[in-house]
Amino acid sequence: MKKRITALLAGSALLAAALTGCGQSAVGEKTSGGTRTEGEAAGGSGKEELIFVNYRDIRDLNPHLYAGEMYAQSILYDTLVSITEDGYEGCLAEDWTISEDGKTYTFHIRKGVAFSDGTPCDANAVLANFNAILENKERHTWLEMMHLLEGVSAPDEDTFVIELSEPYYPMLTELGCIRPFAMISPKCMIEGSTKDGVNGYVGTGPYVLTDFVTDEYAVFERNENYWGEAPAIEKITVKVIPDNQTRIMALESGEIDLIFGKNMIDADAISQYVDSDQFTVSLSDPTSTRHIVLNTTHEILGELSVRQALQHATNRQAISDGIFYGLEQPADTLYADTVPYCDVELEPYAYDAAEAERLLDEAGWVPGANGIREKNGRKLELNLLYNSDSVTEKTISEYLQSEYLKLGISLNIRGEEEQSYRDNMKAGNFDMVFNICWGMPYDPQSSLAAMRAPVYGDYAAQQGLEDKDQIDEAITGILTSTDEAERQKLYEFVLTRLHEDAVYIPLTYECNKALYRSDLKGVHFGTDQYDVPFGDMYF
Amino acid sequence: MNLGKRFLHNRTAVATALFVLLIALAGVCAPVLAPNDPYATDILNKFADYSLQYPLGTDQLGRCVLSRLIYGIRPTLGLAMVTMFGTIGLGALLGITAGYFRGITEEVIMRLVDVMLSFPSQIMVFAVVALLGVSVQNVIIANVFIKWAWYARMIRTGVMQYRDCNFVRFSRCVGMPERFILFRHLLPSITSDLAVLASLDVGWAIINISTLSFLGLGVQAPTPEWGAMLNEAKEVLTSNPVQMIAPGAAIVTLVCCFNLMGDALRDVLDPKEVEG
Amino acid sequence: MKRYVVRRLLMAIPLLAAVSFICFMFINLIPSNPAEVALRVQQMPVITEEAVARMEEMLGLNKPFLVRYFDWLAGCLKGDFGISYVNPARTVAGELARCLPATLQLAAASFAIVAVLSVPIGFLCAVYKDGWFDRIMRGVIFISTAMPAYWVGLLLMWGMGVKLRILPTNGSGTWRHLILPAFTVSLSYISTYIRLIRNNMLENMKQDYVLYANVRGLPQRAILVRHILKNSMHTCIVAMGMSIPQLIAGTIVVENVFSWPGLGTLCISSIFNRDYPVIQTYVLLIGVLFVVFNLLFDILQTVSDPRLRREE
Repeated sequence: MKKRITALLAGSALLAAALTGCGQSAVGEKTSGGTRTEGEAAGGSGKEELIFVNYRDIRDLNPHLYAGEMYAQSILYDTLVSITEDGYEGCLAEDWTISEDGKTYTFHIRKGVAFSDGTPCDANAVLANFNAILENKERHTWLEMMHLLEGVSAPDEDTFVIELSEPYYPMLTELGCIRPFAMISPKCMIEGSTKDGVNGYVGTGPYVLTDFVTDEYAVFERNENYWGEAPAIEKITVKVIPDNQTRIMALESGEIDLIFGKNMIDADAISQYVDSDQFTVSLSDPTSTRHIVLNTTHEILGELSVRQALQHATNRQAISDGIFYGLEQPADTLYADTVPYCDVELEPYAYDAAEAERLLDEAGWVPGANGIREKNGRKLELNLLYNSDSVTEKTISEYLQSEYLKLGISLNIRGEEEQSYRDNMKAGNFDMVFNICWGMPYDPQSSLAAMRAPVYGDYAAQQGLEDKDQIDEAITGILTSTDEAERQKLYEFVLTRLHEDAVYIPLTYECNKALYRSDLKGVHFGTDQYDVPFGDMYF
Repeated sequence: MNLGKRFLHNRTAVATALFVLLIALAGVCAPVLAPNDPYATDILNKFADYSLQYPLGTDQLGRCVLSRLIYGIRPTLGLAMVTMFGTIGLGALLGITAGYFRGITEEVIMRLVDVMLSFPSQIMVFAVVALLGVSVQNVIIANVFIKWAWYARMIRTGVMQYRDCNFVRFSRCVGMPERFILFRHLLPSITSDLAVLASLDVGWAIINISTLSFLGLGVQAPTPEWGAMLNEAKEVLTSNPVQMIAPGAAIVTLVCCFNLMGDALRDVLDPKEVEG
Repeated sequence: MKRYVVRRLLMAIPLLAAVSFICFMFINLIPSNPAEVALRVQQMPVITEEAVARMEEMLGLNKPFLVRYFDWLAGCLKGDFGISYVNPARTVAGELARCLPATLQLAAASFAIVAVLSVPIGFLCAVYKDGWFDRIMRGVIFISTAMPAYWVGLLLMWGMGVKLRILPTNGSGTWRHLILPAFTVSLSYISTYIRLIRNNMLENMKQDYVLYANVRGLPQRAILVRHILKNSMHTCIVAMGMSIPQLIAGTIVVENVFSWPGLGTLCISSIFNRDYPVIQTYVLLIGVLFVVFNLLFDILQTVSDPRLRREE
């Protein structure tokens, strides 16, 4: 503890000196209040400890399961390939070849890489990981690859081979995802298996987990034997602060350095810091679509006209302007047209209260006592489930509640913490629920593939659709088709059906938001929206 | 000995009672008094400053804070009153019975009280709400269910103290019927305790219900309960701290008023205070 | 005397049984089927009815109610409270053990503040009834009892944390983290006890024995301290003693406001997540604490107050 404080003080002393030199005296004065002379003695290096914040604990960081925080998994573990803006790059595999028929992938494993416990990360270690993952195949069926996998092998310690029964175009993308294809040290496996837990979180990544206290903090320190370029930040402490306002206050008081994430800061707080010298705000490009899923198995929402009426009753522009101050743009379709294959001609459901009323009237939902619409004695009453760990979903819910009420639709809203919200969504225990697309690199192939099994709310929500079988079949077709044009056609089919079935109410295009001390540099956004690129940050 | 007269002579009692009535009246007449519809959102005009149209500004959805405050009297005060009557009725009945009759009756009641008191009220309220589900009705049930035992114990202790007082003994000696002793001696004697407790209890109930709403377990959005309003204000604590002033101040004022009334009533009702 | 203590001790046993029974009932009244939860916990992708039936058998859910109660009770006595529904990797006992120290720390700090402040202030208020000190304190008390703890917490957080930036606003670690939450917790108790002591002393001042003491010509200070205060303290000690578990439980709201990593934060998040085993065990724990403290201070009260001794 003491050591950390000293380090902090030392850092701020240097910082103060640097900043006053630059003429930003306002900041300099504030920080220099708590400085000691030890700072001078520490030498010329900048502050090397970053204090990050997350709304919940790191939990189970077993990379082959889905119960851990992804930012932590991605700094602890590496995958065979990594996905960058310019395409695929070698990671643990230095390079690879794909056979003519697209069914055999041969990876040449990078030499000299070792897990932080000293175990070499060769083809055998990769094979052990794949075996552990495949042992729990059932759990990963959201990845179409699981159905196509014929076999994995390690002919020698530098070569790893994957054989598929059919060519599969998102193969490298799926291998590049941090879950489940990240490599953990075979020593952490329990008798070669990871599905029932692991006895350590040792990877090959740039950081190692050195300390954590459940629900309080976790400490990651630089992996001095990292095979790649060493990150500038030596130590990352992640504090757990579940509440949005408390996080901002902690940032204000210097207890944390960086807030990062899509739902970690609300637009009001961001707008407050836009002109600040002390803190910097960064926004990413749109990452995914914030939307509401309508459960088509629900007695009322099973009616297409009700779903369409809800679409027309939703004022996306007002949500974008009013709640997000325009930081998030209104969304018209489930996937933005910048997502691969998703530039499909679809007619957006325009905000039109009159049209919504007309649709409801025609469907037999007429205003009853106290203004709520009724049909055959049943009230038009719906429940909306939101994630209370998200900073804006509650506000959107309340807004929609009041908007829908004007049209005679009674909306009950209920917030639950992330875990139970997800469980309920997965189990289909909802009428309407907030959801997001998965963003790059999962969209659209992985998130569509997942609609065919109870991975998320989509599966349950779409069960009431008459054309569900056709949609599922088309999705399977997309994943295995080798013909680009045919694939595009199938995508068009699926997206059009989903749009016309009005299962999803798109709201806005989410973006990643970061708020941090102005002396923290190199903050940018990765290709994966859940990834926090600590590697490029420095003070 | 005229209670009414004594009450009217106590300025604090009269003033606080009037104030409470006034607030209640404001709640009843909310549609007339409120300048705006408390549910009407104006999302583009959120966190507006004080203005003629919105005397206390607007909240995170652009709703009129003053109107919500006025409409908020209904759930805030109403629920607290219901809780209080339920609690006192049940608690006083069992407490007096136990304290006066003693014996097996006391044993049964007090063991029941012990069990009830074995759970801290707040925790039990949370447990009941977790079990029955989040709803206003369940909050009241939970509050009454938990709090009566506290009353029963306090009142029983009070009754036991007076039971052996000289004036009660005298009464018994001269052959007054038990019922007379119970209602003319013991009940008035503990009334002061009861009145103080009761007025404090309304305050307690207001705070407790608003706390539940604040935590998201009580009155649900969009109903403008004061605690629920503070829950929403908490979300913008750093960017718009003003939001938490009005509902908080309203709760403090109202609870203060009930507390003040409690003390005033104590003076009015305490028979020992009036010499001759 | 001895007989009373023994009787009181014996009486605590059925009480504890009742407490545990209520807690057991609680988990049995919840809408979700524990077998189904167990399957979900094992990340079973599709939950079939047969699987549920098999799991019910495995968990012994088809046994008679009372048998299950005693099984559960035996587990509790061994410290096995089951696993969390939401985080199956964690045991309930482990969760409570993790959060308990923080809550005890907070409760102890609050209790210290309450005891140190309320007794002298209450005493002075009663002695100088209607004097300037009494008036000011009464004003302060009026306002502070009327302030919901969470609102005080928010105000302090905003004032001390955001505006003045002198104290940290969340989490635990150093004593500086403790100040704001402990003060917030103690505030409502301080008011209660000042009030209690003051009113009790005023009551006592009107008693015959005070008159008698005055008649005997005892010095005023001795009467105040040795008789009135001492007598008033009886009620107060009982109330304070019994309020220790209340204090532990009472931190629940404040912990949530300040993100204090204790039982309260755990409990509220368990309620939101419907993590029933955690709630159940928490209620059981506080319930047992209550019984123990009630017992302790009931006996203490009887021992110290001759009027309540029943030795006829």
